[in-house]
Amino acid sequence: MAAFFLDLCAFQTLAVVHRKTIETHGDRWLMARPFPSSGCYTLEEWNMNDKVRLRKNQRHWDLANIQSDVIDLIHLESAMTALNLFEKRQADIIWDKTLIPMELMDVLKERSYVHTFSYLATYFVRFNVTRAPFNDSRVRKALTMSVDKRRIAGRIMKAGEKPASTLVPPGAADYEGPAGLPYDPPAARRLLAEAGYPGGKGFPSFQYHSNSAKQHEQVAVELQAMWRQELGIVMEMRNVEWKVYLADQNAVNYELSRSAWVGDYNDANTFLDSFMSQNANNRTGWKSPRYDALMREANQALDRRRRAGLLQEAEKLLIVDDAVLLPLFYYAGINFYRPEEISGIWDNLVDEHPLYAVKKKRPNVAPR
Amino acid sequence: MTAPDPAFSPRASASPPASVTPSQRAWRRFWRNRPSVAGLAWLAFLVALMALWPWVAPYSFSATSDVQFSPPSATHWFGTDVNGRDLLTRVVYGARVSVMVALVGALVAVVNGVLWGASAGFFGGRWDGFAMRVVDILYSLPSIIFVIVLITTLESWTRQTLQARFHLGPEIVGKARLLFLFAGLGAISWLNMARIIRGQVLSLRSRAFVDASLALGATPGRVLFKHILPNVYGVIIVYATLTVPSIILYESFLSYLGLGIQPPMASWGSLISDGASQLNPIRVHWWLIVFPAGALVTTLLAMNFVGDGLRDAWDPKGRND
Amino acid sequence: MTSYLIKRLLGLVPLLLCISFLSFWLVRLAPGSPFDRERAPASPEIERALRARYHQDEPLWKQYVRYLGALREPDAQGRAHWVGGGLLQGDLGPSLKYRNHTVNDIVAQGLPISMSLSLLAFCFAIGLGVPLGVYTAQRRGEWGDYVGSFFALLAFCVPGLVVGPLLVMGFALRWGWFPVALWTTPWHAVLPTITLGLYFAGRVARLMREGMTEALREGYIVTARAKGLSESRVVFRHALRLAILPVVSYSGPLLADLLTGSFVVESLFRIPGIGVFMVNSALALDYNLVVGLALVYAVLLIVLNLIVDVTYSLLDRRVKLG
Repeated sequence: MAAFFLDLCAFQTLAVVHRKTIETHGDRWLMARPFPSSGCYTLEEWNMNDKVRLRKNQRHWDLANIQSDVIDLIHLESAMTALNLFEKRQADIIWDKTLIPMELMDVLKERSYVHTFSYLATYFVRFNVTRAPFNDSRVRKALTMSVDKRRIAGRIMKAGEKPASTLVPPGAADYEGPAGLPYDPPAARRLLAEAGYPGGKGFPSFQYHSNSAKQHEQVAVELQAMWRQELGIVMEMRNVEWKVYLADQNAVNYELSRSAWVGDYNDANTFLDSFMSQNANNRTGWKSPRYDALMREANQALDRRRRAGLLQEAEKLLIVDDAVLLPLFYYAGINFYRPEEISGIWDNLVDEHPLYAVKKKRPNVAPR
Repeated sequence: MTAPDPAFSPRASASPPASVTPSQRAWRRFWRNRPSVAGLAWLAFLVALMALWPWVAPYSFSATSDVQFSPPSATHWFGTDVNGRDLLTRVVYGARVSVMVALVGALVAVVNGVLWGASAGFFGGRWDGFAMRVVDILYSLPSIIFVIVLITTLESWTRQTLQARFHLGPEIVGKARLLFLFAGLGAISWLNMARIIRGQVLSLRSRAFVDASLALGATPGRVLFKHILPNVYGVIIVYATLTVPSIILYESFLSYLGLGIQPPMASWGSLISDGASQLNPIRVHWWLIVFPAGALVTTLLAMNFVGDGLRDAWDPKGRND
Repeated sequence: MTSYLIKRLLGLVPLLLCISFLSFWLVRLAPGSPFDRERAPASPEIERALRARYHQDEPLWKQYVRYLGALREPDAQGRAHWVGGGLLQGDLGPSLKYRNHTVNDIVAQGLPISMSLSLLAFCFAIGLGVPLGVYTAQRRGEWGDYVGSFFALLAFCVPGLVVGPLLVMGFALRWGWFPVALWTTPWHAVLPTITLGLYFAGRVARLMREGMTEALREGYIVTARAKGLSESRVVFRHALRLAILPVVSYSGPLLADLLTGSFVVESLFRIPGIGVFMVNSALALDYNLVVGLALVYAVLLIVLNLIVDVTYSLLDRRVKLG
């Protein structure tokens, strides 16, 4: 069995649920009270767009080690509101990425309550390899090698994101990624000329497809300027709303598409298996029997070093030889909490923080 | 006296030289109204700026640079944004989109809203009931879904036809999206106007002067256009000026959802909503919100002054001096 | 009057059917599916099963009839029986995004909150807008008018997106007078009410100014003045009744907009109303929630417009209902 089997067992899709409750309550089984839970907390209250209240599960096997009696999860839409509530001590922890005011991270990073750490997540661009001119790997390489990732990682993302040259972020268990394509505009221009577009001449204008969000737009603006400047090619932005974005990406109906992937468990496989020919998350039109074979062989290998070697070969095929993706940067993990008040949170690659360990040092004012 | 018609205002005959037509007199009244003239001057300046900017601008609206978040300075009068783009240039370019969207939207709102609302109020009865129920239905349909469907289905269709049939470049096809944006915004902006005009006309219809002109044999159309509408002119103008900012801001909301204009294009609405995220207790890049919002408010103020001036100058019941 | 009211309320039924069908159909025209996720399901069968579970694989007419609750289907024993629930029984169906919650749950939980916020904002908008409109109309063309009009314009040009954070930065963070967000005590209502109400106050002020200007030029006002009545008596006793008509026709849609909440204010102040759902349901293509909210909105709008029409005829006796 694969090397990541234990990690997979801890993943949420394998969580235990109570069959009888689902059979009696059907669709509304989460509303059953008392809620049958095998975890350390049980669901006491769930108000839409308001809050979820978790209460210590009195029947948990490890009751003595559950640190907090009640945890309220507050639903928020706006990062600024989250920060305001946190500053006013109405919230003790922020650990949702969408609730971090990114444009302020360069200032916030200095504060003692902001914790940034390495995180298994990558921001990248998918090429649609079935559409000309992106069916030519030289074109894909040229586009990749003309992007100054340092500029994007440093100016748009401000929480210490690192420029990415591979899909699998550094630090994944037992794995060493291949050397990615370098930043080399002259070489990129040569490749584009070889593909038949010297100086970008004759290169059709193409669309960069993204769901609309400020940060994605800022990244796209930088890419557009770089490609225009370095290669002389015109990229047109196509911001669409979320569902259209997903539908288009699923149908491989785009030319370039903004993407991101967050590791489900700490193993290179969670990134690499997506690009096997039959995987529904592939979404690039790229099918490589050799890649499939390497991946299958790797996941059957019992020897860790051999497995790592096979995975590295596969990734090299994906991002260097065929350049199906353009990795831009590795996300940074960010949590907000005051270490003098909250204990039990440890930085880790998959940004997972078991609730049973989290404790507020100054006891909560009696819960409302 | 059949009606308070601008051409026959009570003291019109008392004004001296016969060579001055009522419309000339109205214009004279307008030019004497200082705020209105100032407003008109601002609008003229804005139009000139929008038209001439590409030739005088030192920066392109999409050119990025290394000076990120520079405050207003001699080289960047309005400062720069996150990508190092010149904000003054973006505000001027934003004016193009916003002014277009607002004008088209307001025009649709006025024409549709006035015709629909006025006819409902004037003819009353079944037609009124039907017309207002149509407004209710359209008003209740989820407008975001409406715009999504309109833009996404029509856009892909025109993109294909324009490219296949007429071999147009992607720039022109990209502009087609703006057209649908106009159509979508116009389609949802006339409903309130119709309701308000209907209310006003309903109240005017029962006045003596309407019965009088009908009794004298005027056709209903003539009564509506010649006698009733001039009396709701003020409300129309005011409501049109209310419609303009709401369309501009709605456009920014649609752009935020990915349904409006495409980056790196800018509109005042999108600049304002970008700038709004600068309002935080940590650090405020004030120029990113003050300049776009200032441009919108100034223009709106100018439009209102002009509207007021026009209305006063042509008001059937206005003072004559 | 009573027969008029009954007629209008009966007219509500076909209108709601019409709106439910149109939005039911419209939302399915939008590209994408409510079941699309960033991570594809492990196999296509899973998605197929999901679609079948929510009857998205049936023809549109059948889905709609099922939604109404007027569908007869054979059960396990092969006997035809009515499919339960449905719109005709007031059941708006399950939410496709927030599984475990029905649309009725969501509306029941959010609508009262949105309603209290909206009534406060409406009172604020009328309380500020009407006096400001009267003040500027009385001083038309003078400095008082320019200053007042400037503030009215500022109020509806500067969106809640800007006003809200400014209020929070000042009154909540710097001076600490009010809470920054959440919805628990009356104090929590102050800043959202102002943010939401200010925009509409500006609009009301403009409409009121216009209405008052018109009214002050009416013949009977001139007569009243000529009789030597005091200016305030002329304005408040005689002109106001007519001057407020444009505001009255506007207040129907205004209240309906307010009642169904405001996306910006609710997300900024984290108020668990239904305004956020109005937008998010459309973006998530949560078919049932979109249609359900459109119907709730329609009922509010139509009832409020009815109230407006009645008020109208009471204020202006010349207008006949019918």
